[in-house]
Amino acid sequence: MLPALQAIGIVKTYDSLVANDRIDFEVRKGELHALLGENGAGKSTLLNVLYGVLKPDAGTIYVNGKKARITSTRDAILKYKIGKVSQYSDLVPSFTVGENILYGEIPVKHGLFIDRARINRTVNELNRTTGFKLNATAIVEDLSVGEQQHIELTKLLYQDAEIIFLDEPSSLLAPQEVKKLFGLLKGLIRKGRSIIFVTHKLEEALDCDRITVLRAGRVTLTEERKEVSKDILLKAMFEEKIAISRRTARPEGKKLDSILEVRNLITGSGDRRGNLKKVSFTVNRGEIMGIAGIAGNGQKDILDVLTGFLRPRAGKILLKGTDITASLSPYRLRINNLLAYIPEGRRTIGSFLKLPISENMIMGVGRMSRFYPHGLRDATAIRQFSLSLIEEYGVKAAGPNARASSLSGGNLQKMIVARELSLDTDLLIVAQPTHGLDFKTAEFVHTRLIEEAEKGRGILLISKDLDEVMKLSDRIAIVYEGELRELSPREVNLDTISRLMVGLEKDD
Amino acid sequence: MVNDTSGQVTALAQIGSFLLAMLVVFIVFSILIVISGFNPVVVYQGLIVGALGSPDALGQTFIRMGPILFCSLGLVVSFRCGMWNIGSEGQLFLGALAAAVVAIYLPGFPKVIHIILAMAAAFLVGGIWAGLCGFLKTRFNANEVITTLLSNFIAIWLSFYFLKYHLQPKWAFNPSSLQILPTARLPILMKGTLFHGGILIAVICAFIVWFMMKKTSLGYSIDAVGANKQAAEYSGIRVNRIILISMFISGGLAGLAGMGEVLGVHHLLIRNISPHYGFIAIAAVFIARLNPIGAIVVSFLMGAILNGGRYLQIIMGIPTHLVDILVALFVIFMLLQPIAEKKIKAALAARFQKTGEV
Repeated sequence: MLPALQAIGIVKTYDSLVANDRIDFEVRKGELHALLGENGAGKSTLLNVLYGVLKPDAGTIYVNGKKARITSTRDAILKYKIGKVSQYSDLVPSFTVGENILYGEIPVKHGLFIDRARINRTVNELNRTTGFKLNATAIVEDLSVGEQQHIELTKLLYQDAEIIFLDEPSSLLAPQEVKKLFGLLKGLIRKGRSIIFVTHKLEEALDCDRITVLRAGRVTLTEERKEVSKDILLKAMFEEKIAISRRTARPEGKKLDSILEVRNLITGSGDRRGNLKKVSFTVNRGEIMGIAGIAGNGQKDILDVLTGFLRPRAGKILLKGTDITASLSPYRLRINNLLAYIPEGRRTIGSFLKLPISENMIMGVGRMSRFYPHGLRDATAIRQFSLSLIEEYGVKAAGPNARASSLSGGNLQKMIVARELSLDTDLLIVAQPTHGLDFKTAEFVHTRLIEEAEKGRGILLISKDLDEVMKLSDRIAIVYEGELRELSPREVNLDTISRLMVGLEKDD
Repeated sequence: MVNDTSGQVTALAQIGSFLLAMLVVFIVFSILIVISGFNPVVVYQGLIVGALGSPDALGQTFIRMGPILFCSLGLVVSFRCGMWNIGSEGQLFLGALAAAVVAIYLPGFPKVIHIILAMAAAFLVGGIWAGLCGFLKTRFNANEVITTLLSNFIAIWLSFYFLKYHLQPKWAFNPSSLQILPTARLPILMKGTLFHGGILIAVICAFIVWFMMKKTSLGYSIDAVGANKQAAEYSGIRVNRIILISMFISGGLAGLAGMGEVLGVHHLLIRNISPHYGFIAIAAVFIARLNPIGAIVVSFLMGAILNGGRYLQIIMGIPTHLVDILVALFVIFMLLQPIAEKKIKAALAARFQKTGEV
């Protein structure tokens, strides 16, 4: 039988980053197919290509054996009957369930009034096919995330979708809801629908019929469920052979001088996956402390607390032995030059895109007295400083007066790295420093970070790129569901790390 | 190569698109004049004569430019901070009230000192009034567009209340205060016209605001907060403080507009101290692209159009609404100008590159 959906040789690149590298992917009719991979493996890109959001640079897509040109999401659903349930609900929160499902085709009676009876009938009919128990008159915003997913699925079935993508559907669901979802999905595939379940969780992939694993933009495995084990999947998901880092192999027994100490940090009310549950760790002088983990497991809270954006509920933060928990604020940290911080959001918080590069280079109020002595601008000093950083870091820019928005992603990141590394602080916090950068720029940033550590700074590195953490860090900790687990040197191997990252204890 | 020409290309595109916008305004307005049954030539002639035709006309234009410039400068400061202060009009009214109180009831000061005191009062009251809206923003995250807009009504009626029940003498028919003391009068700078010292102060303020925004750390912080609040906070700028300061300065400058009307034009407080100068300034400041020096030029143009319109109405019997349309067209096409600028720039850049390669 012809596959319901088949993609051959899909290539998609951003600047010099290859997000999808000659991907072959196939879904059979009536199959529940898992698309597995860690963050940045290329899952979302592939999904967006197949769903008509992105145009691939190369490759062919076949739907039911016929060559397909999917140029928009409208095309996807109307012409090819491909639908998607996105990570975050696309429903209108203030409308009823029925109105959302029949959105755009609301039945009208007497040319004026909404035909509620018909809406209810339609929803009930759909309930019979799906096995869901949706109440057509309930308001969407009163319903749980799980029920909202049911609505989205029903809506797709109403639109007659035959191939359905679910993008990380479990990320906002409680475990029992996930179980329920799988039951319902199995019902749907028995009725001949094809479902692609996008996830980074092993167990969920193992509940599907067939599994395709992506790593770094390539397919590393496509196999029937019965043919694979957890270990095979882990191997396919993460690099088989990660070079043991030069740094992790450093001799031990050196006297440690702690720069940052975090003790029993708790944030939020603990009900979110990303809230911290008693996190403790130390960053020492001259070392890079790496925190790895799949995004959304508490990285954001750690960063926000340490940079003064979020007040912790409990816990202590010591900087060079002084308790600074009470006085953590971006202003205090910056004015006293206690912190340099390369943030993840290089466009959102890391830079003033609308302002010239020079104004971006002098960011950080601790520098104001240097560039604005007595409050007055020293234009020459600012210009020279910007020019020297642009040159030293090889930022490709028209000049210090060009707007930051004119820089490419890599050059913008170089600008931020240049700015933060030029601050004279003992502590440096770095988040996703090379995300989306090409190989050469990433390599450059890595070298600079190692140099800074060797100069005696303490660096906290938080990254979802496991290779990066393993390459740079002296010590490694894994964050999973708000808890931090530091690895002993013996445990620094791919097997242990990849298990901890997906929440499996070592000998599970 | 591209670097060398890019500056010229930008300048050319700016001038070109400005002229284009003016031309379009001219054509559209001419059509509307004809539809309304008037002769465009006569109307344009009237506008120019009314606005610039005699020393007296020029003086009239200048006294309209003054308050628009003060309010525009205030808006430059708050808009660049990302605070959409729509409350200049109200801040102007309260500034006028404060200046009038000092100018009428505080005798015994030498001339210059008295004027400075009245200015300080107007700045302080206007600034605190706007600062209140800033506080609502920083403390409760209340949308400043709404709070400043509504604060206009409170301010205008508040100043009318004080005028009616406290400043207006018992024997007066109309709601107006006593004359201000002679020591508080702003001097006339051009004999035989109404051109008073307040306009000079406004122009000086334009340079002060330019200096503040361009050359001081406060200006940097204001631009930073306006460009990206989150990034500003990340860099350690105390965003709330900057918002409060910028709103205070913004309201203070609008307050000075009221001061100029009382001390320089009317010499007493009247009920309708401003024919919407505070709102006209919003348009002016966008046309000036939030540049304080540009605001001088645009305020003068706006003053000229308003004054020319008055002349059309009084002398030639042409309804002043026609001039309101001209102001509106002016604003619309000036705001569309950046689009034309971009296109012209792209076209020029392409051409430069071609010739460069050949």
